[in-house]
Amino acid sequence: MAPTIDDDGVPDRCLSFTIRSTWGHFKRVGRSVTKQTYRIPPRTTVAGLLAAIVGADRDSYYDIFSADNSAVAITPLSNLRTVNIPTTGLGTDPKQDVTTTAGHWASYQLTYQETDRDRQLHAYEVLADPSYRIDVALEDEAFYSTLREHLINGTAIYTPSLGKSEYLATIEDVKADRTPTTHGVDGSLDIDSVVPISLSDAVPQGGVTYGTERSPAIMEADGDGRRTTRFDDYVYAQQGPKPVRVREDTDIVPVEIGERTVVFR
Amino acid sequence: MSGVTRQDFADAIEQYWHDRPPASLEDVMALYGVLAVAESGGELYGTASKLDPFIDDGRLVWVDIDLTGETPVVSDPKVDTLRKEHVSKLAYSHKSSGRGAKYSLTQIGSKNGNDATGVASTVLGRVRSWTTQDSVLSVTDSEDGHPDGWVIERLAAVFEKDSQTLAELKEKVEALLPADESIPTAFTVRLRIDAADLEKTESGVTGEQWFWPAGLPVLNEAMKRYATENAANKNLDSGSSEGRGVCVVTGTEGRVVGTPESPLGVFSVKHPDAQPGLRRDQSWRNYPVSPDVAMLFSKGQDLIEKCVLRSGGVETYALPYFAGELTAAKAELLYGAIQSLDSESEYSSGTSAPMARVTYKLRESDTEAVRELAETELRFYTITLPISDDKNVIAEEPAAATYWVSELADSLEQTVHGPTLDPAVGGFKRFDNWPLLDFSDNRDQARKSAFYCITGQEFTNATFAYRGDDEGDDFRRVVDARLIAGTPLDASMLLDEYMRRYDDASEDGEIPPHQIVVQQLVQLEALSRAGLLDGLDVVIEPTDTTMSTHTTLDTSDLPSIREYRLESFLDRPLFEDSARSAAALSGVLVGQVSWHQENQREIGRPLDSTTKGDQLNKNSLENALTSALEKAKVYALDSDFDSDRDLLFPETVDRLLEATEEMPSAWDIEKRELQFCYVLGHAHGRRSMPVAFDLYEGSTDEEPDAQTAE
Repeated sequence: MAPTIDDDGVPDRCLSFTIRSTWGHFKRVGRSVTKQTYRIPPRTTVAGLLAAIVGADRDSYYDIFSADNSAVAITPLSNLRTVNIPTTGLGTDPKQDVTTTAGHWASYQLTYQETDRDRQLHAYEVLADPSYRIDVALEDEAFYSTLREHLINGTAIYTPSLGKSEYLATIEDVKADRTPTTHGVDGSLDIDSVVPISLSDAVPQGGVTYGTERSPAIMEADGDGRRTTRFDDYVYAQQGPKPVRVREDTDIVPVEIGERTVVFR
Repeated sequence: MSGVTRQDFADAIEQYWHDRPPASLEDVMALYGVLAVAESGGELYGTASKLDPFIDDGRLVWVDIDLTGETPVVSDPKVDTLRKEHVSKLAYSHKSSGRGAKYSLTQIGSKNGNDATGVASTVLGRVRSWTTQDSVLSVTDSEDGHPDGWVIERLAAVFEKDSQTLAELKEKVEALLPADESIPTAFTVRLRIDAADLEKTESGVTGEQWFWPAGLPVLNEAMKRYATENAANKNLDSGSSEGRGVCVVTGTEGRVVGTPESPLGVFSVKHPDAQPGLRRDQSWRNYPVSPDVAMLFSKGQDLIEKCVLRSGGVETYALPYFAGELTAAKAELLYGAIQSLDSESEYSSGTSAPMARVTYKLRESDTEAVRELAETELRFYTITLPISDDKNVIAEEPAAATYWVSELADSLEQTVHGPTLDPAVGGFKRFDNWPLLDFSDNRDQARKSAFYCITGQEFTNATFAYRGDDEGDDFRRVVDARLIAGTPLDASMLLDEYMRRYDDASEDGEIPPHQIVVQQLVQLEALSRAGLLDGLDVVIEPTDTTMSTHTTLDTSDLPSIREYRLESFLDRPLFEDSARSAAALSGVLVGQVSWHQENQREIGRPLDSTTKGDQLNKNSLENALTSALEKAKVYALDSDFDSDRDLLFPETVDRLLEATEEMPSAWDIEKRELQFCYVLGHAHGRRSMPVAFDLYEGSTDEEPDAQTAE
């Protein structure tokens, strides 16, 4: 049975797991010349990651992760530390400077990379040792149960990675059918997950630096592609495992999952 | 404040601002666009202020075209001095990049003026060119056009290339204007139209009328399309990148474009590297920006440019904003603070840091509410890039608060005014023109200077290894960003930088000025106080219990001064570890013996000239220490003066023996730590005697040589 999600966006059940890697890169929209990363994987990235585990086709799963029938909470477990890594790259465009068709012997035509050209140097901003706890609930029965099975068995159709295919991810500590319980909000509250609020709703605490981001949250298929239909603002603590303290009158619905307090979106 | 009223801000916010506080660079760019809209009198597309230099000094040339009949009737051009009251009628929209036609039908020539031929060819040519722009002509489109698109069609016919009317017009313009006078010129067209023929007019307009460009919505629409054309087709060979989507800034659905202006040059669909299969015309899907927001990005550019600090081949933008709900009052305040960056700063060196200037502008406000706002809501979007066409972001902090800079500035002030820079308790002293040692006695003033120093890059430049302009990313700027964000620095990284700087600062193998090391100690201590130092098992700052327990300094006797100062110098948590303490003491002794050699024995190459701190290892220190101990003994025996001990500087040797009985090769200490403790000790030891002289208040008839001999 798939979970149901109430009007506040809170599911009655969810899957929880930790995903981590040595590096992560979630390239920001609005940056094409440079390569910066979001500190938190966008909700759409999490959707893509889960779709990869299930083996869903490109452009086939957006409805499953829409605003009404899915709920995702993302909790950073590590410090959100980034490093600029210069990388040298060779292009792979067959029409351009990289591959060449060598003279052929008999009927064989050999094509290989031209490696004597200048490499392109790009600095990638990458997250070092990123680790997140993901809580997810989907009302789509088939998708949810397949996902549940894969997670429990530690299998995946496409290998999960954090942003780039090189940054292979490890999934661990899978808990199926967790029950979020609604947390009574009294006074300011410490939230472990990233919180969809603005900076001014976060209460300052010693030793915690808040960051804020706006990243794609929901997509829909559109013609021969897809488009973003919702962007979310959220606040996170740069000192990853530290919670975000929010004001009392903030319009969010925090829930408890085990030891953690999270906000689904 | 250049006549912008709070109402202007209220109107601009009402019309163009979403209700979220900024959460991305796009939000901040749009915010600056909103401020710029208020600045330019509420227009997003219009740029009336660009005509300011023309008013009264320039001229307006216009052509009346009557469109009420079957064929347009073009009257002779007229000229008048361009007056303030003309400006609103002209609906001028400036295009700052590229050549050719401006966005509006009204065109201008050079700010320096055009002569008659110039107006007839260049300026009139721009009017003609405007009527041929694809984006302008798109309003005549039957599906996606403007109901009054026919106006543009008829206008285009009048200005058709090589037409009779155009040639006549040219001649008439040349005849009208004085031939050899260059005057700034605006050129426009007035149209006579029956209001009944127009679908859209301003309310209350009826009958046949002469319309200036501002009175015709269709011209406005054409101008908008032209102005945002680039936002959808920049760097596309053909077609455009646009569609229906949700704008990344406003969050509302509508027409979005995919190649918006990128003031910092971080977004473009033109990639230097080959990307097979990149569909440039699909960029709007990932990066959907509404045309208005694209225009806001472009509009805010001038304000963004005020917030930059350029130095050492790197540019750092610190874009202030408020983290809470945007009100007209806050917008006004923000605008005022950004504008204030124009004026020359009262602080001269390295203090043009916009972050500091904006912060203090608000903090020192007479209004309490403003000061409180600066405390609670002021944030900076900071982003550092190399000054180069090859774009790359070195560091970025989307929500930098002033909290950590303030904390660190306080700590720096405390350090500078504390025992570490107090010679009487074994410290060093303040020096003019050394960024981390040159602070006012006044605490508030010093804190402020410290804030400027940290945001103005001097804090890191003073102590870190040099970087050449060609070295790409300047790591010091990464460190600046980390400090602003309150991310602690690792001690091992700092010590490595310190020793590399030590090497960088030594010219021709000379020992670098000791102020280098003192600044490094001050920095280390300030970081430690502020809680921004990681990776050391102890704090750097002297604790309260240490410095206060001493007996008072006996200034009547040189050896006592030396001993007291050494004792105090060593009495800091860093030296609780015996290996560190021993390394420092070795440095002290080498410094003292070297001073003695140089000043008492006139030895040209004293011991420390062959013992480079940054190249030191345990073995070379062992050699240096052995010879220092030997020399301390030999010189004492050799000395003409009475001594109650058989060696020079007994206070140092005693403490060294207390710290360890082993030689350096057996010490358990990291190389960089050993080196830093050594150079620190050396900086103290080298000045042990001179400082003692300074503090000496004993009987002056004592032989100076006798004072120095011990």
